Amino acid sequence: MFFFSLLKTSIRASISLRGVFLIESVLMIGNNLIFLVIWWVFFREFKSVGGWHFDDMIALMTVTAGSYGLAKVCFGGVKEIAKTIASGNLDPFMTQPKNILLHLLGAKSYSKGWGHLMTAVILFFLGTKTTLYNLPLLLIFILNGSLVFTSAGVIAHSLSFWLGSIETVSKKYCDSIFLFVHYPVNIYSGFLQVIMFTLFPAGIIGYMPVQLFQNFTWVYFLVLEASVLSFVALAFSVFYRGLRRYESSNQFGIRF
Amino acid sequence: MRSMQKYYKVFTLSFSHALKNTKSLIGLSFFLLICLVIFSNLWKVMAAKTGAFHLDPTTLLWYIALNEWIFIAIPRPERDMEMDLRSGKLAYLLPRPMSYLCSTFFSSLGVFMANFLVLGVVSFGFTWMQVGFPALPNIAWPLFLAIGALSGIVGILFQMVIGLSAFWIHEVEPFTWIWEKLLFAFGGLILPLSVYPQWWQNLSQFTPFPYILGYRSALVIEFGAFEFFRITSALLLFGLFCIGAIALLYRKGLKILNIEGG
Repeated sequence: MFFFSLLKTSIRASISLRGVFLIESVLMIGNNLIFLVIWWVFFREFKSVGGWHFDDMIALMTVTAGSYGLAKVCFGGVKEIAKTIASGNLDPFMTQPKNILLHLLGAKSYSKGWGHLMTAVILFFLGTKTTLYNLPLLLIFILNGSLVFTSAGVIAHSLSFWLGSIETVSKKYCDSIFLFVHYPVNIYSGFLQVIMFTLFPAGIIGYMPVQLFQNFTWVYFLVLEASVLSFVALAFSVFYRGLRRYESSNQFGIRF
Repeated sequence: MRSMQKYYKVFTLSFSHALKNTKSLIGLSFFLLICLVIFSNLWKVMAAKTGAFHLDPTTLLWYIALNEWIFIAIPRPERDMEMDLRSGKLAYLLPRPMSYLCSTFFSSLGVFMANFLVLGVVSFGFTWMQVGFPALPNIAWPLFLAIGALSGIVGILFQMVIGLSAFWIHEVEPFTWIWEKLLFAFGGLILPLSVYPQWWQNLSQFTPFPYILGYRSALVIEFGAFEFFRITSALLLFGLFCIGAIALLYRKGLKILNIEGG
């Protein structure tokens, strides 16, 4: 309940400048659709990549845009974690009787996330793999993806507890995941493919859902859910282990 | 000439700061390597499809490496410009005995040159280890460096045009996304433009994007002195166009400047 109230406030703040919100959303949709056109050109020339066709790419982009958008809207605070830890500014969050990690995550919402979510809606209608019949499945995949994006971000940013100011590297890591999810994981082989499901969980965010759209099996679905839950559990574990090492900067601050 | 000395100082300071910012350089190098890993794997898969493509995978990876190298090395002056305008910091910068635009440009150029050198080593090293050197005349390599630096400069100028739009709009980042995606699409970032539909190729040749990325990198596929001079001339023309646009927008922007508590 606390998280949803916090989220409501953060979202209101992020869309308070209506003009900026509209420009950002429209340009973000344009930005994503330009990328889709590039894939269209690519598949026009090559027909398929590792058994994937243009329709599969639309499905991949629907899931990834939705996941990334949801993560930006609901868990935007992840981007600030490393900076907050390194500067010793966790104190205002620690003095409140609420879950610190959820408080940090919900403290910020990015309006550009709405542009990604709207792109997902457009792509839902454009693609043939996503239908009203499998809409509930798509929504689950989008929620899964946003949780994995956020968990990976939390893990990367929490390393600040041990390594100090690593904000730039953490951001690059998150950007890299965002980059990897836009390409089918089956273009990699061997060790690289393992990395795509562990160190850079692009396979869990985008590839596995599209495989499930192609051929749904309960076993594969449960493997996906277990992977997502593992990432979430790992994120909480790394953050709270790191929190034991946290040193305050003795700054006074109040958070309402 | 003496007036240029202060900008030279801005450039050297910015260059040395950027070189000392190892975390940022490691982050950019890491990002560049990831891009190269993705595309080298993508092209390996495509090369495995016999007859799928008319280009040699070796030169294709070099093409992508030369593109990504400059694409990632260009800094983001528009972010600083937006902050200067939004925070009112510009009010403190205007009375300085140096042009705000020139100091922004030379500061960005310093960062670009540091990125250019470090990322050049990373991209050339990675690509060489993957596929070796392409068969090119020796003269081509210094020319690649020169034209790469020139395209980076033109890239900075265009980003400054985007930065100046902060006089009229609150956030410039959405325009940066579009600029990057247009570079991606019309610049032929991952695919040479010869693969795109003819109407696309015709349209893109009137934009700056392929000169900054695709046409320049395509010299590795087919190197020719005429093509080199054609691209250089186009880059110089687009650079001049940008300088004119920057001067015009800045003059108009200053007239409506509203200092937010500066």
